[in-house]
Amino acid sequence: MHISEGALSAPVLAAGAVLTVAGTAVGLRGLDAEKMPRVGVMAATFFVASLVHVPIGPSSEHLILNGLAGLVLGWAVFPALLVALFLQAVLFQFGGLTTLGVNTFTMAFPGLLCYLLFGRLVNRGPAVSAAAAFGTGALAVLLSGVLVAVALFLTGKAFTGAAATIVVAHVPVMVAEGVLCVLCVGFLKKVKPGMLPRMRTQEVSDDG
Amino acid sequence: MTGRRGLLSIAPVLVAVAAALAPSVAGAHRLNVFAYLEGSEVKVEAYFSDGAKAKRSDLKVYDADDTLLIKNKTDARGEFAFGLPATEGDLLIVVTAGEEHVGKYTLKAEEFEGVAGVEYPGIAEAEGESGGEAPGDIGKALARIEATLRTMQRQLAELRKPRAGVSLESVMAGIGFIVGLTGVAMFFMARHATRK
Repeated sequence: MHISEGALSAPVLAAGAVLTVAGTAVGLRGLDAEKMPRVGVMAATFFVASLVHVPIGPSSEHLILNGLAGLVLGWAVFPALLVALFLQAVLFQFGGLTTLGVNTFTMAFPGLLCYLLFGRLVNRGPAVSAAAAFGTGALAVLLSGVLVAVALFLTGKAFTGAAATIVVAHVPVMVAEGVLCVLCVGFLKKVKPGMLPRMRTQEVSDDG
Repeated sequence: MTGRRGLLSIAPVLVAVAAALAPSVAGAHRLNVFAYLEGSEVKVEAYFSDGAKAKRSDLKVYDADDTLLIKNKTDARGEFAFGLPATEGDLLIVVTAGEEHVGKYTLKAEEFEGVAGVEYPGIAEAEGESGGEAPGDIGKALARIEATLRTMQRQLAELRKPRAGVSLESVMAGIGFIVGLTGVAMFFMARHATRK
């Protein structure tokens, strides 16, 4: 889902960069030494996830895990994915430096949305929690696909064609990420429930 | 502070989950384009970083002045071949797959200088000069040399081709970078907190 260099027009690149800077600024403001390790862990997980293939379906796409990162980090998903995507661009040549802003936004924003939508639900009963976790994993990938299509559309490509291609290619990834999210949330609830959003409103507002 | 111990236990688990699911270290997100000369033909190969071919993808060839020379598609093996155009300067080959993947390769002018339009006049001259004295042998010898050269060109091209996939070194470098950055951030955040 990384957009390569040269695929987008300058205004789209600039808009992506501005949105990412804004998101990163908000994300960094809510961070402190206590929360920093989880940002590092999720950035590393996201960085490595791009190497994990889902070998089902027409084209083999890789995991993204932006839903899981969003769920755990909230707004801090922006700085985490920015660093991870920068390293993927430099070390793997996935995406590119000029498209870093757009790529960060297309992946971090759906993560943030899933956090806002499902964040509270994952702490309910097992059935609701599992459904919310699956929704987080799957929806984040779907929304990322749509945002990539929007970015291409704003550059002048046909929206429906691009969107259909990208979304269809990522259906296996959506299912895989949904299942993985259910497993991770189940695991976190047992081992480290503090990593899941619970009293997050309090956490975000209490310091700067 | 209970958080720290929990995090230390979760960190390797998350990374291990990701690593266990990755039997082959590969990703589909870099489109490699590679071109080489074989005889007077330019062969193009387009493939993703996991080795999958970029099948039936749009391909464009530009000359040094950005003039579009060729617009076509790669075949089912992600390959395309075209006769060397009569231009001077580098050739830029651009492959677009699935809209968001763009790969480029520049075929340097020095790689094909003196190859374009060569008709092997040597064969005819040699045949004429030798006055029918075993001209076929020279022709055969030249053909054999040319065949050998083609093989060598292909082998050289194979060596120079960018490797598909991602090296373990860069994966470790990335993870190390993130861990280090997290540490630096924590250092400054902790100092900030103690000053307050």
